[in-house]
Amino acid sequence: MLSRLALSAVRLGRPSPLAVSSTSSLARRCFASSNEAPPKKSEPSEATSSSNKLSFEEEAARQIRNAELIRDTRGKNEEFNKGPVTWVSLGLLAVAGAGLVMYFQSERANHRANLEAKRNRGLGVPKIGGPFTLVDTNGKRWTEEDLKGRWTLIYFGFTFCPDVCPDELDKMTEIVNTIDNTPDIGPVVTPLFISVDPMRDNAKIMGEYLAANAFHPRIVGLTGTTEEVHQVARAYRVYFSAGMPENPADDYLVDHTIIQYFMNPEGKFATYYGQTTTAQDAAKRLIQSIREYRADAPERERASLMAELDAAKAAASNPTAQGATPPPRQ
Amino acid sequence: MTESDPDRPHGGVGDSPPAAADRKKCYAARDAYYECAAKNIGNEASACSELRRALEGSCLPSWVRYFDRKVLYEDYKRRLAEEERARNQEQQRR
Repeated sequence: MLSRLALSAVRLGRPSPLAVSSTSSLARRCFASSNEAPPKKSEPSEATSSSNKLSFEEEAARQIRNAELIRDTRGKNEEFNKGPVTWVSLGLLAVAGAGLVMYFQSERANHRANLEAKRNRGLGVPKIGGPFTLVDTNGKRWTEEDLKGRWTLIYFGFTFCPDVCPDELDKMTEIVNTIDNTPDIGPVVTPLFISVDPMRDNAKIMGEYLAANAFHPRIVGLTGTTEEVHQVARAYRVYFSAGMPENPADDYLVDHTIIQYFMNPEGKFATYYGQTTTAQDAAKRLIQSIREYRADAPERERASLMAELDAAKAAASNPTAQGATPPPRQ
Repeated sequence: MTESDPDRPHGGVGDSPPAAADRKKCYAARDAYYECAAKNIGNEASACSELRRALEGSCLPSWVRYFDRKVLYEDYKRRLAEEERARNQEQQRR
């Protein structure tokens, strides 16, 4: 009994003054009666002689009962009150923490990649493209306006090319076929083959060349005069140089930049690739370009609407000025 | 060559460019000749003269010159790559 009281005093955290005094008196009592728990029922009768002793005993008993009650209810919470940290909770925390870290890292990587892509798309667009005028194999004239409303893939070469141009045109064919067969895109790409050999290549020769080779059926072969070819090559930053022989009957090769340009439906530069890019990688890049362009459509709509509003405002404030035509919407 | 051989392909102004079939023929002749030349380094003129004539008969003259230069260039690149690899292995061994 003494031990229980003492323990409960300890568990309660602070020794009640009554418990301390009761302890000492009880200690004397317990040692006197040698391990016999004093019967609680007999206590009141025994202690009726001394009211002080009764109150102390009763107090002690009540304290013990309270302490036991508290201890028992506490015991139920003991599982929780062992402390908030157990091995299981640590394990769960580690797992949740690791999961959160991985999630945030992947999101951050995605965010960075998106920013990079946006930056590359928006700001660093090279000044590729410009006005040109050439003729296709049917005698129809093509200019930079004909690039609008369609995606074009442009390759510069010449018909008397030994191996590079046929390989590149085969690659172009494979790429356009891949894009044609992509379900959400379809046949939106027009392949153009522009000759940088104005001396030999004209509409007729180009027609013969394309007919005699199994390139993509939609490919358009463009030729022009020396000045026209110089103009388009300059606009597209393409170098070319004919190794002219002394005798015009002899053949020669034209050294030229080996590159393919992808132009968007506004006739502006979208992306490019060179000789070392495989058909599959190029097709992937072009498909991504198309998808990104389509994803930006709402922004473009907004921008063109704003431009229209500004133009209307300008026209309203300046009634003598001609109304500006809105830019084409794609 | 001021006189163009009527049997050889032409590539001057007004001539038609080689079609896919002509190109394939030229490539086959090219591969055959250069295989022979690789096997007989030093005496290609004598060992591979037949194939050389076939090559010059199937391909435009400018193409033949181009292939010659290209083979030399690729040989040079291969030798460079081998030297580089040998040097790297030496360094690794040290």
